[in-house]
Amino acid sequence: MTIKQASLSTHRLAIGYPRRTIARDISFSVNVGEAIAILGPNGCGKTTLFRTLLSLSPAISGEVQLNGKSIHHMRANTIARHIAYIPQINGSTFDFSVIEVVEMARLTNIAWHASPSKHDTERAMEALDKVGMADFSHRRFGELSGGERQLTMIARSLASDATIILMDEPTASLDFGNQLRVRDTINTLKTQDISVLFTTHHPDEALQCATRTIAIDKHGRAHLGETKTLLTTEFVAELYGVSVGDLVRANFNVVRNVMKDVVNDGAASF
Amino acid sequence: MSTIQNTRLIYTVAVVSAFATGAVSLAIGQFPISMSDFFSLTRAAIVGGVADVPVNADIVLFDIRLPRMLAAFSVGAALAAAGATYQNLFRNPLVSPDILGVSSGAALGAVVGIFLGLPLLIIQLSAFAGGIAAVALIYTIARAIDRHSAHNNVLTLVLIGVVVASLLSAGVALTKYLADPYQQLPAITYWLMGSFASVSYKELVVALPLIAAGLLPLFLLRWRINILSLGDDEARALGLNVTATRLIVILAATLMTASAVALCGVIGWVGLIIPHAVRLLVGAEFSRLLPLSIIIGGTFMLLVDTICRSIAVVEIPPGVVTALIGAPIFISIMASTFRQK
Repeated sequence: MTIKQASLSTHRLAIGYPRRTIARDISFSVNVGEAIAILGPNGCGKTTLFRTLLSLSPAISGEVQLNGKSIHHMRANTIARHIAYIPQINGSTFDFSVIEVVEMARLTNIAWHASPSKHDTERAMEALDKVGMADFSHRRFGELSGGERQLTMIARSLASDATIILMDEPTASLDFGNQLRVRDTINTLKTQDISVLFTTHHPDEALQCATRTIAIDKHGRAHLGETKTLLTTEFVAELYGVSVGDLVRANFNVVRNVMKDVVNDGAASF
Repeated sequence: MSTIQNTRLIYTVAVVSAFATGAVSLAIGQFPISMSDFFSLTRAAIVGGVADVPVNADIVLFDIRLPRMLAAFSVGAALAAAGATYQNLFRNPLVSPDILGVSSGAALGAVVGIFLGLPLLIIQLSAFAGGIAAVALIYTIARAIDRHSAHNNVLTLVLIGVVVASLLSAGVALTKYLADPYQQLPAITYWLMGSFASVSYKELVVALPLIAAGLLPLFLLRWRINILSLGDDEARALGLNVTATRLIVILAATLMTASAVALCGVIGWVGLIIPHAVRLLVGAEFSRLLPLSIIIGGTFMLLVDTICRSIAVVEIPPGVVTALIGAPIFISIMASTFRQK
């Protein structure tokens, strides 16, 4: 089965709430198999941008287009066929098993009165296998560690037919090893022609995974560019309101210079 | 997998206990029916013929105990199913089926009916209408508030539910205050405590189809109700039409609860503890949770009613017994859940 790559773009998009615009002038289009990082200080609208891209919140002005059509009046079912969403880790109130969580991604293929078929379960198992979680299929989701939950959620987005995945802070609250595991997975997804948009608090992470970065500053202005050219030490210092000296002490320059080469080589190491 | 075998075992035990409780409930009561009389009556009813039993035993068995048994089972099943639904819908394991004001609305409907001296069937219809109207009012107010916000929030529904339910309770209190203390007030108090004593086939033929009508959409949407329990954003991002699905689910659960309350008054605890306990047995997955909640909820209610009408010379209100059993079970479930975490 060949999956048609979806196209997602925004044109002069402004996001926020009815009486408060958080960020404006966001224009980009997602290329096949690229990762885009979304950076910015707390409250700059990273999550709101995702909600707007998914049509969960209306755009204040401008437009989000999916496959050339405005997303505004699109049905949730249509959007979900192309875009998968991984929200920030939250303790789900009810405990489903891992396989039950992943099967939920098959919703767009399941009739309103039906439950997942054998084929849906197989697709869910394949997705778990891809992220190395096949052995966990019958474990309770609530008993998993943060990293295992995040990998399960990535498997869930793979089990759908979506070719664009939005990940809201995929590595927040993960230990160092799990952060690496999730970053590896993002890099692997790129090689399989899946596009990933992710938000992060770490410029390092953008340098490691993302070809391009959208940075939203505290005035709500969006800056888009190649990650390695956009994220200069001066720019990052300005973005987070810290001094260049602070960044040097935090080893940002070291990471930046090493990572330049890694990103230039693409995902060759995976 | 062992989980599947476990589930099968749990189902088998539940169904066997349901039938056993049903048989015991038919056989036990103030009018003594011996085991042999019970079997010959049952055989006579099924294969035909005349049973050699004491006078009136057949009337007690088939016209009094059987409809009462059916009523107790279906009310318990309906309340447990509605409770399971609302607990998933509101992502809160401590929610009962009257979270959206069904009981308060039904109580006001019934109490006003008693106050006006209406016949029993009209009082029941008035209770039913009151329950549905309360939920409709709460839903409409919550939607009107949410229309102007970016979010469409279950929290709004719950909070408006609390406010409106409290308002309706004030209406009940006022009616009680105005009611005639010798005739109406005892009737009101009796109704509010809930009872299966006056149930006959006449009421059952109305209530059972309504309960079944509420159950059908819940059964069809059983898998999607899992997705509703993830919360609005996640459910919508997975492709679910959240607003429409939630409205259908609320309508269905309300129909079941209102029918149950209209039939026998307000009986608490069943809709709260049964789904909670069943979730511990088979997990949160609604396709497994719903049928088992129905079987165990029905059996539990039947058991409680059988105890209520046979343990003492006078009948004990079933709501008292569900509270006596429910409260300790609830506390021990909570204690064991918190200990695990």
